[in-house]
Amino acid sequence: MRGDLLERLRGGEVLVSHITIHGLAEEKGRDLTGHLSEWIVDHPQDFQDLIKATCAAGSDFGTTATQGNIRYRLRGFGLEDRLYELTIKQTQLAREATPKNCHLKGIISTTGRFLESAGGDMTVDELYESYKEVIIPLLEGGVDVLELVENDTEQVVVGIRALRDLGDIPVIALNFLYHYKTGIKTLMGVDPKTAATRFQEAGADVIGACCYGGAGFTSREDAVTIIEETRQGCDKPIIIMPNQGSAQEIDGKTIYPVTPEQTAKTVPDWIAAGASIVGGVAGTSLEHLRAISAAVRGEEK
Amino acid sequence: MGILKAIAEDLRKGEASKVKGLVQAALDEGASVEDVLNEGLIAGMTMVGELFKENEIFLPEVLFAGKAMEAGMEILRPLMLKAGGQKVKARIVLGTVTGDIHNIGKNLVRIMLEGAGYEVNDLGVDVPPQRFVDAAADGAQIVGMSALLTTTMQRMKPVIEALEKAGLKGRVKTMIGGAIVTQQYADEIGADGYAPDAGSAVDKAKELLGLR
Repeated sequence: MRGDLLERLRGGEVLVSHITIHGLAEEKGRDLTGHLSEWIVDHPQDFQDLIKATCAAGSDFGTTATQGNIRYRLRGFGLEDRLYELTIKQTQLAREATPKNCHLKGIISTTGRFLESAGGDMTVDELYESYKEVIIPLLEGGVDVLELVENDTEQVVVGIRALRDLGDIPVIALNFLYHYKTGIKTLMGVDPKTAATRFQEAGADVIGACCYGGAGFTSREDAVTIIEETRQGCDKPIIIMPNQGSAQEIDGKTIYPVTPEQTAKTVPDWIAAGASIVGGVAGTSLEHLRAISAAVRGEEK
Repeated sequence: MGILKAIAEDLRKGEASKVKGLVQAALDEGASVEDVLNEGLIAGMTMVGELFKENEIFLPEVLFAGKAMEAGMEILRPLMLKAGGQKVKARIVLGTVTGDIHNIGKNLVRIMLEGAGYEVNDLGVDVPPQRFVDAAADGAQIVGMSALLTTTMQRMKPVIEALEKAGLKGRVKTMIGGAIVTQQYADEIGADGYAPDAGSAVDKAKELLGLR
C-alpha cells in the first residue's frame, strides 16, 4: 500500500517521479505535434501501458498527463470545449492503471499566458476559474495529489487557492527555471529561494523545479544549486526533475545525450542536497527511471 | 529635447499612461512625429533591449514596456498614416512553425522588433510554410521562425525551401530561434541567422538588413 504521500516524505523516504509520458508516447507512434490528450483518449491502452511501465520502472507516481489541459493550451488545438471530457477520461484511465503502491498525480502545466500584474492580459479571477475547470475533473477522477508547473510563481499560487477551495489533497508546486547572468531565476525574474518562500506561504506541500535544458533553460547540471537555493526559502519536501541533456535530432530521432548511468550518478548529490522527490522530464526513458530508482534505493539504508 | 528623454525613460519603466501623455505633450510642443518615435519610443525600447540582454530586467518589464510603446504608437500611428505613411524600416514576418504552439519567446521578439521600429507581421503559432511564403511575398525583408521541440524544429527547413521555390531566397532573409535551436542547426538548414533571445534578435535583424 502506498500510504499517505506526505507521511512518506516526512518519514524520510525519497520518491521517484517524472513528466515524460508525452515523450514516451513517441515510441508508441504519437505525432508530437498533436495535443497529448487527444492521443491519450484515442489510445487508452497505450496510455495505460505507459503508466504501468513507468511505475514498474520505479516511478512512485502514475500521472494523468493533463499538463496541457488548461483551456488556453487546448484552445490552440480547438479542444477547449472538450476540456472536462478529456480530463476526466485521462484521469479515469490513469487511476485504473496506477498500481496500488503508487500515487496518482494530476498535473497542470503552464498556461502560456501572463497575469496583468506581470504585464500580461489575464486576470487572477480568470486564471482561478481556469484552474478550477481542470481541478474538478482531476478530483472527480480520483487523483491523490495535484502537481502545478508554471513559469510564473504567482500563477501556481492561484492554482493552490483553487485547489484548496475544492479539495484537500496535497499539492506539488514547481517552476521552470532559467539561466541568467544574474543567477538562476524564473522567466519573471524570481529566484528559487523567493519562489519557495512564496509557494510555502501559499500552502504548497512539496516545492521544486523542472529543468528542460536548451538555450536559457536550466539543466541537470543546475539541480544541486536549485535544491540548495529552494531549501533556503522553505522547509517543505523538495522535488527536482531535470532533463536528460539537450535534445538533438539524429536521423529523424530525438536523442538525449545523458545516459541512465550518468543520471544515476547524480541522484545521490540531489538527495544529499535535500531533494525528497527526484526524477526527470524531457528525455527520461524507462531505463532512466530504472537507474534513478536504483540509485534512490541505494541511498536509502 | 528633455521631454523625449522622459518618454524614453517612462517607456523603460513600463509607464503606459505617462508615455501616452508625454507623447501628446511632445507633439503639442512641436516635436516631429519622427523625433518622438525615434528619440522617445524607440530609444526607450533600445534601453529595454539592452537591460534584457544583460538580464537586469525580465519578461514582465519587457511586456510592460511593450504596452507603453503601444500606448505611444496609438497616438503616432494615425499621424504617420495621415502623413502618407512612415517610411517602413523593414517588414519582418514572425511565426512558430507547424505543429508547435509555443509563443512566449516569439512574442518577446515581436515586442523588441516593433520597439526597434520594424513592422512585424506575427502569424502566430502552428504556421505552415505557405503562410510564411505568402506573408514574405508581401514586401517582407526577414522571416523569423520559432520552435521549442526537436520534432517541430524540423519544420523550419521546409519553410526555407518554400521561400526558395517561390523565388524569394536572397530578397528575404531567414532567422530562427527557440530553446532547442542552435547556430549549428541554423547553418545546417541554411538559415541566414540565429538568435538565442529576443534582445539578440534585434541585433541579428539589423545585421541581416545590413544596418550594422
